[in-house]
Amino acid sequence: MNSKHRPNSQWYARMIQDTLDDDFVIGPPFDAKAKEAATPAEQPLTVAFGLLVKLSRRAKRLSVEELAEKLSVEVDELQHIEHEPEFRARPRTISKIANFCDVPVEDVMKLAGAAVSNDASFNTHALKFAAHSDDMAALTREEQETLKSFVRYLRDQE
Amino acid sequence: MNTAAKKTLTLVLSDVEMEVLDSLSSEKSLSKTAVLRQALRLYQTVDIRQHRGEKLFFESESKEKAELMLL
Amino acid sequence: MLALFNRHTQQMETADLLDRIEAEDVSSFEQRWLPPMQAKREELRQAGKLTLEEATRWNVADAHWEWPAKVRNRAGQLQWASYALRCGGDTQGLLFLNMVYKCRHPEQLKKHMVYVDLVSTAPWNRPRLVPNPMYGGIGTVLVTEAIIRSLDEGFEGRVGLHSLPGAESLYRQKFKMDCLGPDSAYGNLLYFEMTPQQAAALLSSTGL
Repeated sequence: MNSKHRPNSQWYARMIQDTLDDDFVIGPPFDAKAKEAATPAEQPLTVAFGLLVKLSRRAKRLSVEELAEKLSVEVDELQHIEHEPEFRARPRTISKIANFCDVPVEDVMKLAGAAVSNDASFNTHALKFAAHSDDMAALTREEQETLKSFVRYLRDQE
Repeated sequence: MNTAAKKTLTLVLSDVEMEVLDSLSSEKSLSKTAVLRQALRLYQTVDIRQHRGEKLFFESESKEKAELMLL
Repeated sequence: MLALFNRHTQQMETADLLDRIEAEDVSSFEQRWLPPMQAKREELRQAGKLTLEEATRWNVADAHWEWPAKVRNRAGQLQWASYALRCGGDTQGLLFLNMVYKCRHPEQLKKHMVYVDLVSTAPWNRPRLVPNPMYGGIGTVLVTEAIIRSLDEGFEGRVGLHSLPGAESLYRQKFKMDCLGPDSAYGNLLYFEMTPQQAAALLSSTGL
């Protein structure tokens, strides 16, 4: 990354040597009671669900209202799904979304938190997909590829 | 290293708006661009929290709270 | 060109600093960072020794931090800037900066600054956790990046951070920051700030 403020490599080399034995970790205070950082199997996958809905909707150039009408579901529910990882959608809505995205219902049920997933590989794929949740207005080529790749993976699970 | 591409926006401001921008810029020792960038960050930060249902309050010295119906 | 110190070869090795934590870095964290850190933490817990002192001794005081969740939740938010440091084909360091933070130091009260929210290095780089740590300098590169970002943003190099126990002398002496004392709102961690003069002096220094 270019910055006119960046010192030269000798500065870095010297500074690094000088601080080689120092601890650096920075963050919130230690918490002995904190639950273990959730393994992929425990983390909610609903962010991947929300992202799947949002990107699939935008890929077809539909607004939330238009999609809600098309699927005969509440606009509010779709908004909650897209924006709130804690939200649990109704099975009827989940199944309509699966049909809309043309991916297996059982898999979408797992993403939506309506079914349990113990498949580490599935969870990893979903989390990798979820890590792409940048909220940009237009579906970029990267987003399209990300979406296609994840949908292909889900369909291959059948 | 991936430097995100930058885009240019041309902004037309009224005299009063420009005065406010100049004043903030001077008071906070920031360039006008930096002021606007910071304003955008703040706008989004407040917006996100309000979306979650949180409320924005100002608390006076006498500890009275008044909700800020900002956005 | 950035570089890290490879302790095995005793040479500087080219490193790549990305201006956003990416999916690949999150995967690296989940698949390669977490298991050894969690294993150590669990070992301490089983032995009834999961205390701040022991966790610090073994360099796993941050084993419970949820980087993937933070990356997800903060994506697209201008308040947060993230960086990933890669070297030798893997993610070696992760950084989160808070861009909407004000100074507490009396000399620069309420001025804008870059606040260092989270810094972490891969477990195989940590002395005390592993017998032969691999890369050194990750923390230096990342904290320095916070200062550079502050300068680039027009905040004149003002940086703030809370130091986990054991790192105080680093920020006081090596980075030459001012210590404003323990912060009761943040687990009594020591709070440090850097002023523009300190930033300028640090980045132009040629030797201690």
